[in-house]
Amino acid sequence: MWNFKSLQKPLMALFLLCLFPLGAMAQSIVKGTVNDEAGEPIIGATVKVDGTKVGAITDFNGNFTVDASSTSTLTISYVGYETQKVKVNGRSAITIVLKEDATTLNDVVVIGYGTMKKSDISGSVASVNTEQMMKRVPTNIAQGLQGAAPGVMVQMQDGAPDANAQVRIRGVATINGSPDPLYVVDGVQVGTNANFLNPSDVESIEILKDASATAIYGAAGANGVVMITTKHGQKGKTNLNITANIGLQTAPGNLDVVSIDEYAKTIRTARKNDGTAIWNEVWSEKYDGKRKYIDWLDEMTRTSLKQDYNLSASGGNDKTQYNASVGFLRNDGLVVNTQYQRLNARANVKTQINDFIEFGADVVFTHTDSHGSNNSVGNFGNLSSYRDYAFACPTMDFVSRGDATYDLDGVPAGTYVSPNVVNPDGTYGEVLAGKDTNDGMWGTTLGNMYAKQMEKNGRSRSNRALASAYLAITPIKGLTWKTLVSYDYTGASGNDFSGGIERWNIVDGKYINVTKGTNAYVNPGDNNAYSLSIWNNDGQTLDIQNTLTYNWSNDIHNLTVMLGNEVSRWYGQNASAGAKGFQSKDIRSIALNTGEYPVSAGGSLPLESRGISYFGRLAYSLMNRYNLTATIRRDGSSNFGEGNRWGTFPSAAASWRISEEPFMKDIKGLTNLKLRVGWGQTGNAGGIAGKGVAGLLMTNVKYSYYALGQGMGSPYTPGSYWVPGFYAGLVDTNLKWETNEQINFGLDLGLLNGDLNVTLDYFIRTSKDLLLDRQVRPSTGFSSVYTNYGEIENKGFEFSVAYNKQLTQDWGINVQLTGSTLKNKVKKMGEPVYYTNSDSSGQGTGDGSNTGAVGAASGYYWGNHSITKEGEAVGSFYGYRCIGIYTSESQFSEEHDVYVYDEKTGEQMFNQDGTPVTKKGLRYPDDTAGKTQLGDYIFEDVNNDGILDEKDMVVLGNGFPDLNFGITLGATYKNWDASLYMYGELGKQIFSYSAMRLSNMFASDDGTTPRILQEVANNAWSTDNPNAEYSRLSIQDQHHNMRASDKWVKNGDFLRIANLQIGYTLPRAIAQRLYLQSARISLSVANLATISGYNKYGDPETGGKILVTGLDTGRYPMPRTYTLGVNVTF
Amino acid sequence: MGLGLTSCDNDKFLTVTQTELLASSAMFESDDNAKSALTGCYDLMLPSGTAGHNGDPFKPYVFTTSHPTMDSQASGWDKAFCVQGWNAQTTELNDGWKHAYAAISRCNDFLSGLSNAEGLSENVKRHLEGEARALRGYQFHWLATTFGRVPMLGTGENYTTAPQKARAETHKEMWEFIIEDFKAAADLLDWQPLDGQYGRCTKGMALAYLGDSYMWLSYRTGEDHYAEAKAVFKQIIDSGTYELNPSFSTLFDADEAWGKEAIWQVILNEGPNWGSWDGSVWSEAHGWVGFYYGAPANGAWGTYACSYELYDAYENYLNDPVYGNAFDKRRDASLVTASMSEELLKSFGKDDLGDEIVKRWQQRFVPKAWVASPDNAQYIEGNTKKASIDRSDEGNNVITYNPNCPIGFNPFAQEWVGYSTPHREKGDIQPTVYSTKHWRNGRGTHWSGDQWLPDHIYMKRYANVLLDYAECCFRTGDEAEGWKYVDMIRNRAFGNLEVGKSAELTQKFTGYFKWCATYYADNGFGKWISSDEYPIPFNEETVKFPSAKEYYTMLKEVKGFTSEVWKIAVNEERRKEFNAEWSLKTDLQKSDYLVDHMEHNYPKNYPGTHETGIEQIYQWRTYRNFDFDIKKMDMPIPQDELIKNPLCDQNEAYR
Repeated sequence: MWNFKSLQKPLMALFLLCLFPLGAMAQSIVKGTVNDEAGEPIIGATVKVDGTKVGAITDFNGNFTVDASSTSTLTISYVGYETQKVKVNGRSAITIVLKEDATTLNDVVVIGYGTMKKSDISGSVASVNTEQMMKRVPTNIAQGLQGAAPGVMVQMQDGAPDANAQVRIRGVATINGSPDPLYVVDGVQVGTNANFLNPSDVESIEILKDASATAIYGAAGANGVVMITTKHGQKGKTNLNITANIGLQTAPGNLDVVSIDEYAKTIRTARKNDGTAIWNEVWSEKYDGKRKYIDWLDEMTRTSLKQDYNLSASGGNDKTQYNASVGFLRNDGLVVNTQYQRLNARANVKTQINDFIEFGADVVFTHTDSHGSNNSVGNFGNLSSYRDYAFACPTMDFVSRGDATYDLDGVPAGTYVSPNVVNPDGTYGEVLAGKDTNDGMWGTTLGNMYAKQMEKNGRSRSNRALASAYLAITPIKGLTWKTLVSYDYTGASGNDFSGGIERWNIVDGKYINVTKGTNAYVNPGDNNAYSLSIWNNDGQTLDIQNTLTYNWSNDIHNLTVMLGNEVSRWYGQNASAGAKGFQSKDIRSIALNTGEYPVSAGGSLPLESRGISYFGRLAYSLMNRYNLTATIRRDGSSNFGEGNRWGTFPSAAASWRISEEPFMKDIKGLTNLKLRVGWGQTGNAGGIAGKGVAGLLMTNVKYSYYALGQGMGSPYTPGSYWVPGFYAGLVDTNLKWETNEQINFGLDLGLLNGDLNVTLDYFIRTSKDLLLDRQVRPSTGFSSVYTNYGEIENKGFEFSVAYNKQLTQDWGINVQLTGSTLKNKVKKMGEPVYYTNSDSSGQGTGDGSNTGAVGAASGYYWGNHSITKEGEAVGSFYGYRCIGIYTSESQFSEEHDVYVYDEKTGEQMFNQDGTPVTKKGLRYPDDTAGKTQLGDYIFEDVNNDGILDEKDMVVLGNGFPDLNFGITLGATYKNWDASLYMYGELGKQIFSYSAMRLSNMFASDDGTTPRILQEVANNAWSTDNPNAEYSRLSIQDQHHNMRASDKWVKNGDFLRIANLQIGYTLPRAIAQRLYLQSARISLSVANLATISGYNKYGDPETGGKILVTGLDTGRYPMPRTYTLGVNVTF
Repeated sequence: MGLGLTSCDNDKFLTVTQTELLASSAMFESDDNAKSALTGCYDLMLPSGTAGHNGDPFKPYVFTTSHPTMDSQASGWDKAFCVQGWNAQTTELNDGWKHAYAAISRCNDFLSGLSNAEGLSENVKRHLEGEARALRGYQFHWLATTFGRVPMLGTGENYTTAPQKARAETHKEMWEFIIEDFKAAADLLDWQPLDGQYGRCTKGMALAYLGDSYMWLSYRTGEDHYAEAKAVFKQIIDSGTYELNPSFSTLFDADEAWGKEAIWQVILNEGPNWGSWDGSVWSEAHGWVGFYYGAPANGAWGTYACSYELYDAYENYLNDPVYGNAFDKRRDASLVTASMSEELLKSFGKDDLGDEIVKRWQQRFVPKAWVASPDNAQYIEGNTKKASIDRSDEGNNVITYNPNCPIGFNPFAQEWVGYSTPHREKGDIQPTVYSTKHWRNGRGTHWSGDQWLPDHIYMKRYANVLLDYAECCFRTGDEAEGWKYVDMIRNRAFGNLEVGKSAELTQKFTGYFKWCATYYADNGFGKWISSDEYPIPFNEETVKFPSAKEYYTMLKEVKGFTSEVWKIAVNEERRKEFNAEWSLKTDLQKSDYLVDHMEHNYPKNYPGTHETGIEQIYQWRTYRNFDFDIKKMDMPIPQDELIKNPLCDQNEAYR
């Protein structure tokens, strides 16, 4: 028998289940569609029946179905749109149009170690419109930030395929530290560069600008913080997204330099002015029209392809969400044989284990591979400079001079040799490189630069893996404990193989090898041996952070308290090796070298870096009107000496949402009015590792001891008497972080019912205790000590104006204008800091960028062209003032004596007693030949001591623009969208080494006589052109007209039309038939045009390290890119 | 978990192993480490500058210790040091100042740590403290004798404890500080160097400078400390530790380092690294020494030339009725002049002593092997030098060998000395007399990379002590003892200590010159000939020479010196003994002889001499056209110090 009691409960349940539909019958089924203002359905919107637990999510077509009574009210919400309440009023079908929440006041933004409602934020935080950013198809994050937020100045360093961009948030407040912002990716500090991320993986970017926002990052937060959140899975249907962008890159156009015949004419004129003869017959008039013209820009650049593919899948359910993506970028550079490739892979998962435990993990891996550019080259051997192409000798032709030292084997004097860039058989021709650096002939560094570029085979590779996982526990409502553990690996390697160069010139149909034989003039001997160098380094950062966050709120109060702790450790190693002399061009093993040359090796385990931090934040909001945020962080770092390992960084900010006050409610159209004020302190410790740690120095410390009466021995009986030693260096063991103190005043304004939003900020940023090599009294035994001293101030005003309006069902527009002003000033410095843009060899930039070199100070008179001194901007331009041109001898000053030279022989004249003959004039002591002539520039004897020397150098300006701005114009019409993005700088000066090189014929940094601008050739001084703008043409330039002077300070204002894009989104109905959720196709043009008076010298967008801000030395050309983009989501 | 992971000892966690420098704590971990740390102090006895150990190493010392006496002279910018033209911006003064204080700073750091060091053996600790104090004393001695009053920095004083520092208020305070260092060092050190390593400071070194410092204290303050000085010098003499080298000539040869005459010196000897211009070694300094002292016409620079007044100061007796043939060998062992025609020499007439220049200036040796070599025939035949200014150095490559006038040959470097006039006119006027104390081992034309110039840079020789002792004897009334020691120096000068030792000396000191013959190329100044003979013959027989008292009594009368005869004797001997050494100016100054020396050896506007023009080039006397200001002998405190150390003021002569 069945036991009825055992069936009682199930039967009851069945009964109740049967009753349920009966009850539902009292309801009505309400169907509806949720669209946006453009009529497009909104997928995933939440529809809730007020007062019940009934609800629904809109489907693929924006449709929903709920059971609701005819008198009920529905609440429809979706992120980014204003929540709407709709009464059913007996309707069974409802169409709801959600308005975009233009003010996005309730958006949650990511801040340090947490999130916060935007409306509650009191600091200066800018959100980057990542959708707009991606329309520009940036290669990396830094590029993507360009013009995206006020107060964030982003300058492209060059147009190389892997070019970085320099990001400065609210100016520069350091000299020896890093000026770069901190990047935080999904809560993990990743350093001062996040370019390993694929921009398409980014969900949102917030830029914390003022100290009240960044102080939570303490010693790392001085230069602003870029908070990046990557894309994560969402609840709902699985999506598969594919994007492909294929671009064609072209050169933006050449500089207006002289033609080949005009070039020859400038050489003849310059030689005449110098009183010397032309060196090679090829420049004589009889060869006009006969020389083989080489357009180096054309030879060295190409139309190249830029490809960017991304594939991502995401999805999840209520418990678990995931996202995974892979991306591949290949950017074939504009310059031949340059390339950059990047492979990204990324995956994350988040799961709610139970009601109070959440677990998540992220993994990012990036591999890059580049070659051909940025290979430790400046203009000395750098084949990627726009200026190099322009001013290089436009032919390789020469006439054999019958001089065994200079000519080819077996080629008689007077033979006209016309080398090809590429010979018919594929070999390369060669100019008379290295043998004759006169008159347009070439130095050893360039030669046939196309051949040199094509022979580059060095590669640089990097790997970056960032893995993190977190566990969040919420034991009671409002209280969350979160532990985040991360591992960040960076590895880089590279190799280079060179040697075995061959060049052939064709004379009378015969190929002559110019790299062999007695008169070989290219890479003879040792220089041409095969040589291999290999290097690699890696670094690993382990980090763990714990936060305890408690939130309590009611209708009046909202309080959040966060306490946290973070511990990190970095360690790494590096190694390099090289060898010369191999039997074959294919060998890549150092062990197989011939033994003819020594093998070199180096490497180290660099100083470990460890940090411990404690931090906390209190955020309080009263009646959603009065907000207060305060943070404090205490950082300890192993990078400092024991005397000062710890620093404390506090901040506080308050805001008042005036618009929420009752008395403001009646103001029509005003959706937001908020006043903000903030103060905080942050630190900057860039590059300080170990400098505060006392230690013993050993390099080159030794002495020799002997036995009594011993002979000195060597060299004929070699022996060594040297004993090594060491001594204590001068170290400030109290070295500490630079302290940035910042005050911020801000105003947020929402008008026109939220269509127009304005943000204004004014800030004063003061950096104190700068890390400087401070000069000390020589009687200390040291010349300087690396210590904290000095002060820099940045003041600025920032604004952002955004207008976003759906005008009609079909038309919508959006406009955004961002801008910022900046005044940078050194308040306290002590001895000025001078700088010359050269590496230790006096060549190249030494900064790893591709910005080219200024050249050795002694050769080009540009030494100390940068000065940082009190009262001036960091890295101000430093040089002479040019006050005219000597147009008659009477202009030689009456105040000073100058040497006199024989007009015929050019020799200096002496009196009978052997003293020099002098006349009144200004003396140029560095003018060793003493041949100041009419047509030379007059430089101001500032101190009026009769000697034109470095004491007459003055500050000539600086590279900080008065205003930098970005403009985005957008419009939509039905399924079409168009956007135009522009950015620029106003009130900008450029200290243009490029302009100098393109205006002066002194043999260039590689021995070539520059091909000057046509404008300069037309306006060079001569007796026929006494009112000229430029000095006389001269190859010797013994007066040093080339010297760093205000003659080369140029107006650098520009407006760049950075991106123009037109897109078309497939109508949903059509997409659905193709089994797609959405599809969009776009066509864009990047770097369409640059409007600037500086274009004649190059690109006005100058980026570089701190002390060369505004210096232009010629860079890899910026390409114009035409991109076709496709984005489909399944 | 988080708490567990971060609840470590913070300071322990933040203390990382220094992988790229040696921890400070290592300095006194062992005897060996402490010795290495002291080597760090010795290191600054060698050149050091922005270019590592290369750069321009010895100019501060060469210039301040010699040029102001005018016994050495320079051209170009360096000439300022001969004519009191230096100033507070002068680079060399600033360099020397910084270098000395760098050494002092290292000594202070060392002494500061040593006082607390545990675990060192007592003997080592004692020695190291003594050496560090002696080194510090030496550096302050140079500063005090060069600049007058300077900031005195004791143990424990550094940038942190004393960001600014005033000069010593009085000379007395300063010299007592220095004396204290040398006294302590003398007490702590032995006569023999620690571990038998010559190059380290010893008791003898500390005492030599202690006595010297007493003399300076007396000179500066007017107090009489000569008896104390005399006692100290006597202690050195009586110790038997030191001896005069038998031959003055060999004092500067490569075949002996730290001979028994050396009390304190620097040896420039790059050993196996010779010829390298690497900043990590000192071989470039070898090159610099060559450039300083060699003849410009032979590829050097003209930083250091000696005066004809000095060349003429040496006694030479030729067929003298009393002394026969006797020569002060120090001249030919240390100086060489340019080649000059007999006609030119004859035109100079007689010197102050009434001797014909053409005879007095003859070198007393003949380079027989060199002349006999067919390889050198081109230099000794067939060319007539122009008796006019030859603006081309190259024109001097072919030189007529004139047995009647065989000057102009460097017997050690086996080179003809270019030029044919007493003064080199290219650039600024400069005498063509060069010091073979330092231009001995290499050739200027080899400067670019294959130069080996081992060099003795003496700061204190036993000869210094003997003359200092003699001076103290005179000043304390012990005149006979004083003359005895002056004559001891003269006896060696005339070669009498060489007698009977010729074979031994030849055997010991010719090896290097033979090696040079296998190495150095001609380079246009003659082929180096291997010879079994020493470049300058050693005396085989004792010669007679006048006593110092006799000779300098006569000299006082002839030249009109105003000083007492003993002072003239002591200091004129110093000139001839220590030319091109680093003690010359300081010794003359502490003896209060500089003014007399300048007034009578380099009289202003000497009658018949010319300041400019061709005539100036063809005269052997220096034309001095400025008033010698003894106050300027306290060089100006470098401007760099004044700017960065507001508590430091300037010397009186430069305010």
